[in-house]
Parts: sequence; C-alpha cells; structure tokens
Amino acid sequence: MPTYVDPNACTACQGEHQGPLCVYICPNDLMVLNQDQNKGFNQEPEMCSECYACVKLCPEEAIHVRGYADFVPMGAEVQPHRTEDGLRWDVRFRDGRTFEFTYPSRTRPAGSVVPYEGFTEDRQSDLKNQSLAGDAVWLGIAKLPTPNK
Amino acid sequence: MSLPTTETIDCDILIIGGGMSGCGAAFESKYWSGDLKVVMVEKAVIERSGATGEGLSAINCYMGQRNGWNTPEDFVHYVVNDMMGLAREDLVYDVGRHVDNSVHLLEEWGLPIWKKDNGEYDSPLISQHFPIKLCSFKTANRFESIGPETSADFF
Repeated sequence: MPTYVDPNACTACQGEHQGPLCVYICPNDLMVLNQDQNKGFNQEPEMCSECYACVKLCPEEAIHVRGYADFVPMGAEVQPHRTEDGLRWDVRFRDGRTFEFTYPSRTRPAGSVVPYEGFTEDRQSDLKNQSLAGDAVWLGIAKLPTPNK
Repeated sequence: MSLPTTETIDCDILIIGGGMSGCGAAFESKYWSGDLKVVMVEKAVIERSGATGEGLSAINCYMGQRNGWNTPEDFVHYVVNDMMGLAREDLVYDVGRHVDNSVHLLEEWGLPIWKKDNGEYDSPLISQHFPIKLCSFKTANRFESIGPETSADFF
C-alpha cells in the first residue's frame, strides 16, 4: 500500500522550503499539494516505494503506509515517531493488540562529529600515495594492502 | 507553477550527485584539497539523496580485515565470479582494501551497528560478504517477547 494522506489530519504544513514537508522530502517527487483542497496527496501511488520518508517527517502524522512484511504481519498498522536519536514505532495488529518498539538511528548527538578529527595523513606528502583520508587510523590494519600483480 | 531560477556558482571541484558516492567524494576531496572550493550538486533533497537513502538498513560490503576475515584478493575473486568475469579488478581491489575505513568511520560518526558479545560486527555469513547487521535487523526478533503462540497467529 503506497502512502495515503488522511485529509482530516493534513494541514498542508509550510516547511522551510515553502511547501509541505512531504512534497519536499519525497525522493521520487510523488507527493504534491492539491491546490483546490490544500491537502497533500500521492499523485502516482504505483510508483511509491514505501520508503517512509514522508511518513516520518509529517508533523501531523497524517500519512499512512503499510508495515513491511519483515517486521510486522499483514494487516498491521504502523506509525513511526521521530525521537532525538531514533524512531519509536507504534504497531497495531489486525486483532486490535498493540506493540511498541524503539530502535536507534544514531549513537551520538547530531552535530557532535568533528570532521577529519584524528586523521594523520599529511595533506601535502600523502597526496601522492595510495592512502585515502583516515586510512591510517580507521582501516584497522597496520599497512594498506597492495596488489600482488 | 513558477519556473526555476538559475544560479551560477563558481567552484574548483564539482561533484555531481549527492548519494553515498557523491558524499564520500566530497568528504575525501575536501580533506586533500584544503582551501579549494568543493561543490556537490544533487537533483533532489540532500537528506534523502541517492538510492541508499531509501532505507537499505544494511551495509552490503565489509571486509573485516582487522579480524582477518577477508583480504582484498578474496573480494576481487568474489566480485569477478559474481559478475561472470566482467569486472575491473583494479577498481574492485581498491574498493575492497579501503571499504573498512568507511564502515568504521560511519560507526564512529554514530551509525548503530549490531555486534556480537565479543565486539565483532554481527554478520550471518561474513566469509561470503553478506551484509553486516544494523540495529534495525534485530527488531524482528523482539516480537518474540509477545509470545510464540502470538507470533504464529500473526505470521
């Protein structure tokens, strides 16, 4: 089942890019705004890959997609909620029972990474050799392998 | 509908496409180029750019050279077989010897990776280059907490 926007819940939110967030984020440009009714909708459901980008971003949680068969059975409804470091999934099984699970999408706070921190490659002298940035520290082995023939 | 506006941006290095490869190229070129201006262009949204953005939930290539699991030669052998002989062995070798660097860095930057008790990455068949597991793989098993009879009902 491709994305379905609940028209009662959609507020045609205005994100930082002057349009609804689902329209902004859809990797296949499927989500569009119905100008007459001022609601977002999926203009080409058959092309939807159910990637959940819009579902996770929608501030009103107005977009519904079926759960993937590898983590919920057929007929279950799922709703992801964004948390600071991951996603909390609310699952509603077809017999009415509910289940909730959380998994992290990051182990350190956003913005805490310092680019190239601890890299030892010299920008001048190591440019000519075959090491990539960070190889000396992060490859995990003492010496970069080289082909035998 | 309004037409898009045209903006001209000067740069020293232009990277076309903001997927996994483009982001890696930007990271690498910025390190070595110092003050040169690196510009990456992407046709869609950078938060979800590239095919990788659609939620693969697995890293499909990891050598585990620090554990002695595979060598770049093993990887070349595997890829050449998989491609029925049609592969640039030098390029494949280069991917194989550098890929662990990228995976370790992704973990350092905050990507959760499922591990065994001894701290090694969890992978069902590491010697055959099967994916290492990210945390989402484990969620399926958590349904066992509901009870085995329930699982049978649902699936």
